[in-house]
Amino acid sequence: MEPLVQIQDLTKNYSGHPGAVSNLTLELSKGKIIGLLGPNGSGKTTLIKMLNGLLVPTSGKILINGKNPGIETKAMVSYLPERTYLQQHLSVGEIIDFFTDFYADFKPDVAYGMLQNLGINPKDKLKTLSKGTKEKVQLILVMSRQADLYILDEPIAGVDPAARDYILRTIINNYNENATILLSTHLISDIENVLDEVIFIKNGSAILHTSVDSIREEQGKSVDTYFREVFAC
Amino acid sequence: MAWSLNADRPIYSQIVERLETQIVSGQYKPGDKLPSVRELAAEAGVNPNTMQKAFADLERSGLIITQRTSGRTVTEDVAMIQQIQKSLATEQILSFFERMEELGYDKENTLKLMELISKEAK
Amino acid sequence: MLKKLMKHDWIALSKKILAINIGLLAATILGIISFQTPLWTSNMPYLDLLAMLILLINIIAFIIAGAGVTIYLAVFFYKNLFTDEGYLMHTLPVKSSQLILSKLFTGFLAQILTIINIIVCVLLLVMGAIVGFDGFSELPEFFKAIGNIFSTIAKAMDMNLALFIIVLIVYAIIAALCSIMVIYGSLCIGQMFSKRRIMWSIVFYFVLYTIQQAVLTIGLAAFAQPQIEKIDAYSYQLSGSVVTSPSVDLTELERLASEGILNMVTQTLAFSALITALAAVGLFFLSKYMMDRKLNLE
Repeated sequence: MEPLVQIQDLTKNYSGHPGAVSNLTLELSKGKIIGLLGPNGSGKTTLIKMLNGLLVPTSGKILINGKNPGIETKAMVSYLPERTYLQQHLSVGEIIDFFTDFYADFKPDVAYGMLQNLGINPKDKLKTLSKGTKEKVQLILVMSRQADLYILDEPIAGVDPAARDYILRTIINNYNENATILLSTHLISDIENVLDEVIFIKNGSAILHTSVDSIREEQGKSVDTYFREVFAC
Repeated sequence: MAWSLNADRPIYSQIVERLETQIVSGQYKPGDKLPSVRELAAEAGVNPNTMQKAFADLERSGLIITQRTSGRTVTEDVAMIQQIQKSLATEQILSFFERMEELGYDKENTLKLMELISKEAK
Repeated sequence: MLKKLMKHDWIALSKKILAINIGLLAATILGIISFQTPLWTSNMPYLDLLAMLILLINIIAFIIAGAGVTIYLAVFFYKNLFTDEGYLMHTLPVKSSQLILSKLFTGFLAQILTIINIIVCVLLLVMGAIVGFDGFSELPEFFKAIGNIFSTIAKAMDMNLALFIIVLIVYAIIAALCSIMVIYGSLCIGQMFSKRRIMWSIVFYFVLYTIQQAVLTIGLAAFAQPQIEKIDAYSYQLSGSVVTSPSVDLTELERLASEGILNMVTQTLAFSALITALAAVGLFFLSKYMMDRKLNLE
């Protein structure tokens, strides 16, 4: 089967930061939940930006469903950035209208359903919501799309443990075997049970790409423990 | 709440063990319908593919039967279930003996101690 | 997609724009009412303080309407495309040219509506003053005077009134669209730097503005030249004939002078529109290039 994402020899040089991504080669198959793990400055964010068409590579190739990052891939990729990227003066309902307008694969009833489960009022303006609730709203919007690739950047970072459980359950519940979820995070021990595979990124390259259970079988340790060994300072 | 799983052992084998335990202890009776992969994965807090792998294992051993229309059910083969129950219990006992040995109790002394405590525990 | 972008951009813009324009209307109504009272003409103490206050409120309202809308458009463009919100806008399945055009057209609409409102409010204030100080009977005189001004200019330009007004409107549209694009373009240019982006945007804008002014001044001089030569030539002719005929007809000289000024002005306006349009088109493509190849959100 054709891999969903093909990355070949990808390089990104910034002035003042050459080799932010350096000859990175990776393939992501369909129907997997994959963890993108690496310390700050390892190139995760740069890679994610390039996958989303927010940054242009210096050299190398990225193909999503066989296409270069552009308008067509943006319609296939559902992205949850690390920050609050929605217009704060809008209400939750207005944002759902926004997503409905621009994304053909967006399912408003799914979104409303999840909002109801959490007791979030669609009439509330975003700026009145707590940080944790805002993050849940953003996640709900992203997961209510029927995309081919979901890219979640630190989806559980600033959230309390109960909210984390909800977010992870939402991710599992919305899993479908034709799509792939790429999860970038620091909180490895919280999510490794949910991951199929992990990718370790160091100094702009992928130094490991294997399944969670392989690491546990071969190393006899959790991914979290193994990660700390590999990236020990 | 997610299942509490040991972090340094493969997830799917722990799921297999847990499901086996639930079946042999009667939590899932012979013929009972099992929740879907996705439901159980969400409950356990694990990846659906991992849950799928565990189910596949159990299907191979015959403990779970997949029917096209009615989903996954526990086998009706009571003998097989009892067989597995026995072998799981045996495993526990053997590893118990090992641990007692580490504490300095051989098999005889272990059995004696067990009788003593069993009487007191009534 | 462009229509959808414009719909949502307008939803975001209209709240503030409406507020600014309602504020201006309110100040104008306040002014008109004040004109109907003896507030401005009486000698009682404190009344002139109140009059000053009303004057101040109106001045502020006009400044906010005039400059505030432009500033707000720049702020909205920057915030929506180059801060955190940019992570949403630039991952939408739309072309970067659509992102730019959407903000251009909605910004233009906001600008035009505000300008119309400003003109209406000025007219209302003047009418209110006339009614308040001189009475209703003077109003028709006022309208006639305005009509005359337009007709005079139109006749002088050898155009009928309708054509003249159309030219003015077309010019206003081009000027508005282009000046907005120049602002957006400057913001985009600033984004091509890695640090102090807003500073670079402002620098670029002022450089561009200075260049535009310089080009205009040169153009003005260039357009003035032939007109001056014409007048010189006629004067020379005239001075020659003074010797032969005792009474000199200056009306032709006056006519040449006013025609000369008018030609110079219209040519300069057209030239300035051309320059701004070129700058705007150039910046549009530069901005598109920036978003396609040089985008790097913080």
